[in-house]
Amino acid sequence: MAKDPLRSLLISDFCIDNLGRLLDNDESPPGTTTLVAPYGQVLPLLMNPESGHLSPPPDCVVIWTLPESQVSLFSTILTYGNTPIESVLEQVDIFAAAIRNFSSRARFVFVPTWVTAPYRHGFGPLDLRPGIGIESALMRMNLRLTEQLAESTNVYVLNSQKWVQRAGSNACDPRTWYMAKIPFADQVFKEAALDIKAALQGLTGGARKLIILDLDDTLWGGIVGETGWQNVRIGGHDAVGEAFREFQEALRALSDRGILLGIVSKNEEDTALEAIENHPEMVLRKGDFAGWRINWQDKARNIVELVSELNLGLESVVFIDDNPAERARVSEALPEVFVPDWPKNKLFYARTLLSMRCFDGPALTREDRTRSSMYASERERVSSRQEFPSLDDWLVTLETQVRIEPLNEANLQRASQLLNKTNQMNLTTRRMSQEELRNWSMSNGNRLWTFRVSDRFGDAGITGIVSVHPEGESVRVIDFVLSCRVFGRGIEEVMLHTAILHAQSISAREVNLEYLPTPRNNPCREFLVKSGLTPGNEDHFFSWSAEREFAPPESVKIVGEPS
Amino acid sequence: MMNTESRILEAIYKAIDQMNERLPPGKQLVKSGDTALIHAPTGLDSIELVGFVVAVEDQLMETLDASISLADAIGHEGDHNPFETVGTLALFIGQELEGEGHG
Repeated sequence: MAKDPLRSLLISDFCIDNLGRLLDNDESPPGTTTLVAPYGQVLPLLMNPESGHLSPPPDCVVIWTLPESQVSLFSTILTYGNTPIESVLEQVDIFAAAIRNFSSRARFVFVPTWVTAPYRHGFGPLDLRPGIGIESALMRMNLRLTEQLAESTNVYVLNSQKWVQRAGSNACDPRTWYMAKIPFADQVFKEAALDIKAALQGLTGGARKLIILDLDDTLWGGIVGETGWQNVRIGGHDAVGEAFREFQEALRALSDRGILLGIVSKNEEDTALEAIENHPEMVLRKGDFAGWRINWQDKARNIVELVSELNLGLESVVFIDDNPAERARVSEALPEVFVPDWPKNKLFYARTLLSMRCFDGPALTREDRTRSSMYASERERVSSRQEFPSLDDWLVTLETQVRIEPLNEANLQRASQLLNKTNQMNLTTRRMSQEELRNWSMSNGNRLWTFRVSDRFGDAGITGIVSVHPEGESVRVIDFVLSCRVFGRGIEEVMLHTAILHAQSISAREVNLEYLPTPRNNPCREFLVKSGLTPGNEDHFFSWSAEREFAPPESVKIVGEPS
Repeated sequence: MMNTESRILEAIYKAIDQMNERLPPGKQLVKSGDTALIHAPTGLDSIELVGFVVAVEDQLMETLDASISLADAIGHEGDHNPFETVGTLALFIGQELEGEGHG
């Protein structure tokens, strides 16, 4: 199902039309329709909420300016004049304040940092000296801008220096500047468009979450089944071995920020796992992988099985394999999976991984940092399930605890992340920025609670949210969102119990839920059907009379109550 | 060996390839001498034209090692704007290159 394109607005003091074209012509999701605000009207636009360009409100606004245009004192520095940096920074503060005030008018605001043309030699060896150098002043200005915008959760400062670096020596072309006030070459705009599209994809829940790796000549050098684990190439005084070790370190770094790792490899499982556990130079160990399929089956089939086991969608997956035939097979069979071209030269593996944009997310939460260990806990949990004849008996032994908290500044970031990333147990698949979520929860009697889940195997963190809106004598559940990692452990019932308890506390007569179907959220409907709620005339409406209790399962201990 | 006229066309066609990467499907330029460059409905707008000028200049440098400025030609008025079509542009560039050694 194609989604509506995001409405983008570009605000600039130079001709930025080329960026608009690149954004709109890029076929990667999410699609955009871009409007370019009148050239050179940056501050008037930021300070005029009635501007026609802001109606209807854009999803995304890019505010890209030249430093000398918005910070007039920087012009003096550019001409080697002597200007106190404090006065320059005061002008930066004014510009940042205008952006902060403006930021509520769009879901996402991108502000590229200021750059000067690479051909500008400046003061040479004195150019980074505080109080003298042009680059020194510019670095201070950019730092101040990022600090001033740090509290605006929907404002993202983008590093345009990287775009200029990647574009090379012709990044700034005087010909386009003199003819059309375009300061940057196409290559700079291309890099900008790629970063902005990747950010939008992440912000709208489309970031990749799982890297599935081949083993031989991908995670280490050589074929373990032939050489034995002692002789695979990783680490040591060997360029190739060192490159594999750095590649694994880069993977572990991604894992530390919440990207899951998996293995799909044609190998003997025991042989491969022995190498992972025993080789002294191996960076990644069994516990670093959320799951694996190591056998001689078709890799596409193994990927489908592994992704299903981890309760993820194929559109979450990146598949890395040194073998072009395997990559082609997976690309063709599973078009949702991102299969990057992989370099033949093993010394380029880490560089290729580190340059990938598909993992860009809007936030980094505690849950992200501990995700891999949560999956390891889940493996133990599932393993323990085999020991009990009934599900109820097993649930009791988990000693599950759910902490319910109203939305607050401490859990806002994670709540927004859950809302925007969860697809399966999601009643309405509503997507909102942190700012929008905060504002919504504070208006019209709306309420939102988060659910933190832990058990004897570990702490899963905040994995659920419920929000409600009063509607006459009823309460309508707006969001009912639960991470797939804790499905089927009684948390869903605790969430319903919470909404019904709230309805009772404000003397509402009933609780209503309207399920909005998507290609992925059928698990939510299945839960509602079997939960005992009364189905409406149409099959996506459900209700519960607030005169009746909705008891939470005895296997779950609830800490905190909706207030 | 290619003559100068062919190499000028080759440079313009390479610039067209570059331009087509950023033009929407309905505005893609065809590699032909008759292709209109500046008139609606399929011609380039002013910003696209600037990009095209820079691309042609760069390709002329690469293909013919010729440094030529086309900025002045954009402003030609009347019926003889060099950017009317790919063919007129090639002709104009040829004349400019011929005139290079004079004076």
